[in-house]
Amino acid sequence: MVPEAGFKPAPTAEYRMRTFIIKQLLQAVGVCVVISMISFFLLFLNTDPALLLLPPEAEVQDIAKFKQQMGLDRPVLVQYLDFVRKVVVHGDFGASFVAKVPAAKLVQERLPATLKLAVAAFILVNLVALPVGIISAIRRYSLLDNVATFTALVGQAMPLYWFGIMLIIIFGVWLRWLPISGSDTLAHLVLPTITLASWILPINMRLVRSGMLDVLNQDYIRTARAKGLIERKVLIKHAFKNAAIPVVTISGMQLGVLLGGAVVTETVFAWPGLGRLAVDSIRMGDYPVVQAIVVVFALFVVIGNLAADILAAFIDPRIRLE
Amino acid sequence: MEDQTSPLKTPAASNPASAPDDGSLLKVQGLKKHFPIRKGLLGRTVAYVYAVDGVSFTICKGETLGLVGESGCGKSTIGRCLLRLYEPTAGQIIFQGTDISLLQAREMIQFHTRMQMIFQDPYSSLNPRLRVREIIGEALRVHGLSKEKDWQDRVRELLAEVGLQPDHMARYPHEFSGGQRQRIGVARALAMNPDLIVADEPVSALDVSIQAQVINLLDSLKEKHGLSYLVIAHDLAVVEHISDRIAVMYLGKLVETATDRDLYLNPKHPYTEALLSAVPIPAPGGRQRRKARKLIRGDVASPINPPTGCRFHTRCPKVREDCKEIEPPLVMVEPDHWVACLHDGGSRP
Amino acid sequence: MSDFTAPYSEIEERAPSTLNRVLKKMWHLRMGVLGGFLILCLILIALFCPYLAPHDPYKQDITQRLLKPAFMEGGRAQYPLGTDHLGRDLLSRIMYGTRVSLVVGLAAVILMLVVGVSLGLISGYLGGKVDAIISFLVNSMMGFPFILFAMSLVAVLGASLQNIIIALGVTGWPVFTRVVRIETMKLREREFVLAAKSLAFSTRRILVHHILPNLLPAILVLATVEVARAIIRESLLSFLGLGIQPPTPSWGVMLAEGRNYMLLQWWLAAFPGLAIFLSALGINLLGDALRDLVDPYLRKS
Repeated sequence: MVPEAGFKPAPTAEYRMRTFIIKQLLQAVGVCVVISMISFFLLFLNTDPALLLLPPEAEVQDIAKFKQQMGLDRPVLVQYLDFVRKVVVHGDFGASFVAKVPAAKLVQERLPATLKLAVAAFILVNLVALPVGIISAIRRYSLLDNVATFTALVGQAMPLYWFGIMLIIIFGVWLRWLPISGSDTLAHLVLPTITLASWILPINMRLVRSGMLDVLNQDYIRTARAKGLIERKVLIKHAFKNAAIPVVTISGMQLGVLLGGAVVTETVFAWPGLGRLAVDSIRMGDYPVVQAIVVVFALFVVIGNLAADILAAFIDPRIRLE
Repeated sequence: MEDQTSPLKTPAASNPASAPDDGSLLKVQGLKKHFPIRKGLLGRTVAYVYAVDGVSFTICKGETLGLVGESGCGKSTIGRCLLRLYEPTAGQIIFQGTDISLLQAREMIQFHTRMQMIFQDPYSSLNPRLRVREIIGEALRVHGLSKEKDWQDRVRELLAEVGLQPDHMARYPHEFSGGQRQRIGVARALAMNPDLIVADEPVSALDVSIQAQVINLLDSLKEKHGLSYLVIAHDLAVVEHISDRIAVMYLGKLVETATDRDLYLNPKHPYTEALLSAVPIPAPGGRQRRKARKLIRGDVASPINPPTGCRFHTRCPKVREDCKEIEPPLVMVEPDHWVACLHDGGSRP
Repeated sequence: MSDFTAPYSEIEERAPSTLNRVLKKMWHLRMGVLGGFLILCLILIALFCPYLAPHDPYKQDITQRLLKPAFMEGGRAQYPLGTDHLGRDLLSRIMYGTRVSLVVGLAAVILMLVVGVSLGLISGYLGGKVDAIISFLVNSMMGFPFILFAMSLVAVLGASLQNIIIALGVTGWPVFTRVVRIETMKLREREFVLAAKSLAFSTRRILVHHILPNLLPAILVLATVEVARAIIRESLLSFLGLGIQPPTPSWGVMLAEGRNYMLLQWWLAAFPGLAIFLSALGINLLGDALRDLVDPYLRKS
């Protein structure tokens, strides 16, 4: 047989991974840019910042002069580029209209509290969802499975803030077990964490369960079973590794969801984090702070997605081929 | 690539069209279709699938040409290129005197009504959400081929012609069997009163017992409507009954073309011989065709990296040294019998 | 947790028997019926609340403020669920709240459908650059937490009923586009679409008459779920003060007001929230049941 001429060598695994990462990075950057643009231009759609900053009695000439001083009379695109430059190079979002301190500083102060809450919730969710999901899949239609599925169903319809308020009422008011606002002690962390975790828990449980089920039903596992080969320990490690993929992917996306949920949770529990700052700032029209928060959130979301995507592609090579 | 004419049938009075033609209904010359394979960040094209790589043939009015080959040899692609469902990479498609490969979409519309297609899979070729009467009649209404109130009557006529009950026109496709669905597909194609019908593996998805029925249907419609067919199949037995001429394709190129009889009695290309020897032969009367099974070695080569020289050389039982370097052209070795092989009309065991 | 070295058969043991399967189907149907019932109540209340509600939801009566619900001590039958801080009857306000929720939910989803499905069809069918742009847009938007996006929009547009609907619609359409796009891409290669092309039908005709009808089951199921999400999101925005403003009886607003009194008058927060929960639950149950019904049908065709 004559060997075929002119075969191209198949792209190596590293090449694919590199391409994949680059693609994802570019998309992430693109997203950040788009979001920052939107948040910036939104500002100009509605109000004139000059009017916000000056006292109401200001005359037209004063306004014009002020604008010129602040550089607010330049074309919008130029102002946007200036904004980008300031943010990227100096991390300067301007000064808060309300607090008269740099917006970035405010964000910096509040960020740790939100992160504490988000991380705690993330840990709690995985701590519960993983075992429950796995066991639900293994012992399908058992009591645990039914209870878990029912809880998931109910949980998905549950409004977060109502849940939080009910928790406060039950545990804080009636039973008086836990404090209900502020953030000083660990006990303060309990209720907000549970509330925030409930936002994501149903989906994660269902995902782990269905992921495990998919794997358990694969032919190669069934064959191994029929041969009596695999012990449960090994199976779980195997199956779980595959089931972990959808969980990892969605965990990345959930960073953003968690942050969104944090906004509500912080409001309900008067938790001093970014979420509450966001709500207050929007209500008071404190745009520099709003922009800063939006950009910070976007960054976290994007990084979360990126990390999840890369991790998932690392675990399952098929993803890189898409 | 050489052109072919068909001396067996005198071309009927042809369409007094613009270009000088030889009375053929359809003349395909040098048709190529290459699909790019894109990889990498910017979607750079790294390779091509050479699905169709220079094919020429002619179909005269009232003639049926059978096009056979293995899966993946490009025959379905040809059918789709003819209807401009794919854009040809190169080549000409001269239909009734006009080269339709160059036309814009708007100009193509008039040609669409003259050339229709019957698809392979009866389970996905009919829109499951439409009733049969809409499937068949939609074209009539949209293109104004029937008056507003008459279209249902026309649908009834068509259903009767293909052997289905006209009252069934209010039903949905899933209420019909595979064979019946193919008949609906035929009716849909007929609705436009085409001159040429391309049947893309019309019976491949059907039970063997039904296959004959559908082929017979196509045959009977041919006379009645003055149709010409291009029947694409991977099974020689299927095209034998209905074709006047048969073209054999391998890996994007034609390897042999002859009349139905000639191909069976006197195959010249090793690939054709192998295909023929795989056709099940009923014991009595098949003696003149019974030969030892010619098994081909190896798997089909890839259309992305076709072999050098004669594309069949990697599997050919008669391969010589020069087969690996020279690509044999399609030449006429006997009246209306074309072969692409360096063993030209050569040794027969 | 049990011992993990037990033999394999422990996992196989619980394969669903036929009985189990039938029960599961019935369970889903029953849940779907329950969901349907809840939704029916919701719609009926929304339609007939002027006749059903015992009081005018806007009528304030300071002398009657913060009364307990009728089933508790000190409550009055006149005010079945008690009154809020301005003396308005809670039950009536909750009933009128159904109108707000339904209107917002449906209007927002309609907006999402119009934009999302159109873009999905175009993106899935045409492919190429158009698809790349739309996909990029969809991916960007899907990654971004709704709350922030919606809050920013509301901050700019101002808080009102219409703006809420716009904000919800604008943040919600990518979900539809993503699904429609994938399904369209699958359908576009089906032979009946090729047949339609070979019959020289216009792209518009193919998209609307051939592809879209085949997407309807999936779209319907998604729309149902999205209505529930829209209702929850509206109340969320209102709760944060960025949505519907008082005195309009939105459940979210009532929750926010109730929160101030939750130490003593817990019912002011509990019942509106319960209403939101039941509405969302009903819609989700119905959506789940719908999806079960639709799935085998999809697979069959």
